[in-house]
Amino acid sequence: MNRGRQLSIGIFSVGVIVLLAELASRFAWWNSEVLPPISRIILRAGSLCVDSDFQQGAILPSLLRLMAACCIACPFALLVAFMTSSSEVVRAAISPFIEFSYPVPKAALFPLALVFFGIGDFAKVILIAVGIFFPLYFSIASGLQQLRSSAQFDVVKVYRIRGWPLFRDFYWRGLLPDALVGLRLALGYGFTLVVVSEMTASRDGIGNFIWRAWDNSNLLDVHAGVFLLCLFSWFANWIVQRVR
Amino acid sequence: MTLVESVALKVESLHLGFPGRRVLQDFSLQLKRDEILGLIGKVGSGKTQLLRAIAGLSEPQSGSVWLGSPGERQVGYVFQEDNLIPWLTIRETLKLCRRSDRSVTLGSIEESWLALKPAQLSGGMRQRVNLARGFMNHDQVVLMDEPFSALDPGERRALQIDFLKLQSQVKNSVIFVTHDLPEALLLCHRLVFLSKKTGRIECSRENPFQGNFGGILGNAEVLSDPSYQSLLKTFAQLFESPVPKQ
Repeated sequence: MNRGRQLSIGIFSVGVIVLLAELASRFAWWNSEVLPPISRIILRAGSLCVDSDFQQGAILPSLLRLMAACCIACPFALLVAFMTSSSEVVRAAISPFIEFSYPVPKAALFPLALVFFGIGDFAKVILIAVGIFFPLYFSIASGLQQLRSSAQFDVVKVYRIRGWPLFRDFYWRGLLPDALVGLRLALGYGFTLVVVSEMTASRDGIGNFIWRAWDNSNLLDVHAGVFLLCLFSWFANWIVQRVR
Repeated sequence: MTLVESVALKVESLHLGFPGRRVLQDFSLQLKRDEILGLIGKVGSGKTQLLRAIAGLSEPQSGSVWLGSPGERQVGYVFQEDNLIPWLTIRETLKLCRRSDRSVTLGSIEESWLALKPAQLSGGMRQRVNLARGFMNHDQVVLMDEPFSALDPGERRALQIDFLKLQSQVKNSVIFVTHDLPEALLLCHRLVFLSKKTGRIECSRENPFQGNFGGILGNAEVLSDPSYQSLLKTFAQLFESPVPKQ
């Protein structure tokens, strides 16, 4: 199936669902207070986007937290993946910590992060960074393993390719597709943790906005906030895909 | 030239194998300067393992490999598969594999290929790049592992000519692994047969027909030459001899 046809089917299916939801709300097939018409949600989300208070108080803090967490998690994941794949001793020493901590739902760590780092942005950023780290680490480590067992690695060994050229031309460019797949997964998880961390002990961010809206029984704003989160996640995903 | 100066590579008492399977046993070999040595043997006789041990890609259980100069082991390697790095252009690959500022011999690579990536080249073109990469550093020893086996006859012939030209320009010593006897008789100064049974050289013969395309092109004069026939027959019989199970 060509790309144009795929896109047409996608637009058509989304259009049908949106239309049905709109009609259902308009003709009171369900409680329109609980699920308002989609057109109202989109209009509200649009008005929030152009509202400078919302930009400064919700969008910007959330995006800054996510970016700060990425800045911590990406180099750290790269470093740990290189360390564990370069030395069996390091792998044996680090792997138990990774295997043990990976299955823990990261949201459960938030109270501990608050205890360790205080009620502030740093605790939130650390929590998001921990969540982002794992998908990134696993994808980079798996990519490294594949590179090192590839026939091309024989070329690296025979021609004694070392140092910066080895990192830049072999590892970095060879790992990029795997790292970007990891980043896509990590960003999805990162947005979840942004919202979770902002719902408590926070005065700003999209998570805080959604939580306050729910607290005030303003379900239209809850829907608009969730809709904006979907848009941001989709946009971040789209950028990573384009880079890939 | 003294004996030491005339030797480019010396392998002594090499033992190679995997757990539960021996491949080479007390294997010794000398490669002379400017010599092309044809290494022939059945599948699993350890030809590729020997090349990998010489290149430092695998560790032998015991024995030594001497390459004429102290320090790092530097060899050129023409791989069976081209092993080109898919995300690099040909120019980037050659630059990455270049070890010194010495002038590079690129053989028959065309300028227009340099900006392309391996996936944009045909099998023959990729193998030409593989060949050029093996020779470009002017290493004293170049190892070639069945480099032309996957090519069609036309491409194969063109690359054989390229190889002979490159070797005569660079004047290095080559170990050339092949299963194709006429190819070995065309390209190699000396042919050795590696025995799967003993893990050592079973037969070694000088080849006076090196560089003579008559055998491959079906020239009656060469084909009916008794010494050509004798060489062919000797190695063909070795290929057919049964190998007892280990």
